[in-house]
Amino acid sequence: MSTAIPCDDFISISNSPSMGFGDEVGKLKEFLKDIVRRFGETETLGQSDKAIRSLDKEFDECSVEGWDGYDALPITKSTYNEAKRLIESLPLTTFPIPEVVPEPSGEIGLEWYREERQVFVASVSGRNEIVYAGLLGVNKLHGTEYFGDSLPSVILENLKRLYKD
Amino acid sequence: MGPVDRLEALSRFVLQKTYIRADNTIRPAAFLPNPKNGETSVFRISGITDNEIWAIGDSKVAPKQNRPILGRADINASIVLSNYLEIIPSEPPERHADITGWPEEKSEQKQIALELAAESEFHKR
Repeated sequence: MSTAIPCDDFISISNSPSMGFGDEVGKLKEFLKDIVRRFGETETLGQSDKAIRSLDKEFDECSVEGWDGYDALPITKSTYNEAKRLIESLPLTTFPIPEVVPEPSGEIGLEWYREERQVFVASVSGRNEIVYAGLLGVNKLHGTEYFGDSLPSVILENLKRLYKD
Repeated sequence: MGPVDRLEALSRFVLQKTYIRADNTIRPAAFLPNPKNGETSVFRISGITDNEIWAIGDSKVAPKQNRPILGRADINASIVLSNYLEIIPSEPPERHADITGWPEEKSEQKQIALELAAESEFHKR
């Protein structure tokens, strides 16, 4: 008999810092990558794969200028890579899978939408920063955060606010 | 046409399917400014019929990119103005205007676009 144990802190596994030197650090990173990959194969944690498939599709369709019918800039490979990193850093066992939404300036946004005034968007453009904005009822918020080795806590805090009930 | 009155209605034509949610509401990205000129192109639709509005999209917007109009987001000018943006008539084509005055800060742009999307009414083609 086996017991199911909920894993609601995938972020601490999937988003560990990569600072360090030497061969052993490289081996450890590969080892960690393999663990994360195996987690991703499970039913619930495999949610990120769905988002990445959606990202792949949008990248294919939006890497040419004017993809929105107006003058949208193409989505670049570096923006794609950063969006993938953002998706992989999300605790998708805790929050729903976001919609991948390309933006006119060539950014890729992730949207969490509950209803018209309960929505949060975080986007990247390959510059190691996350630009975010949200409507949480009567509260409005926006900001920019450095996106280094781990997901900025302000993103998690705002998602918690969005899904608090 | 003269200056835009705050009681006028505006339409933003949508040609990109990812801008439309499954519940037929519009995503904020549809209102974000054109990266080349910092403006959001709209049409002034007060006083004309629904068919005439779609005809503007079909004749003035769709041919430019050889893509069909998927829908339109209608919004009152007062909502745009209350977010400290301006609406500048820009003809031709007839009834065309640009939403200008977007802040430089990207996150502020997103926040305003969220507000415009939340206050607009999407009409699917």
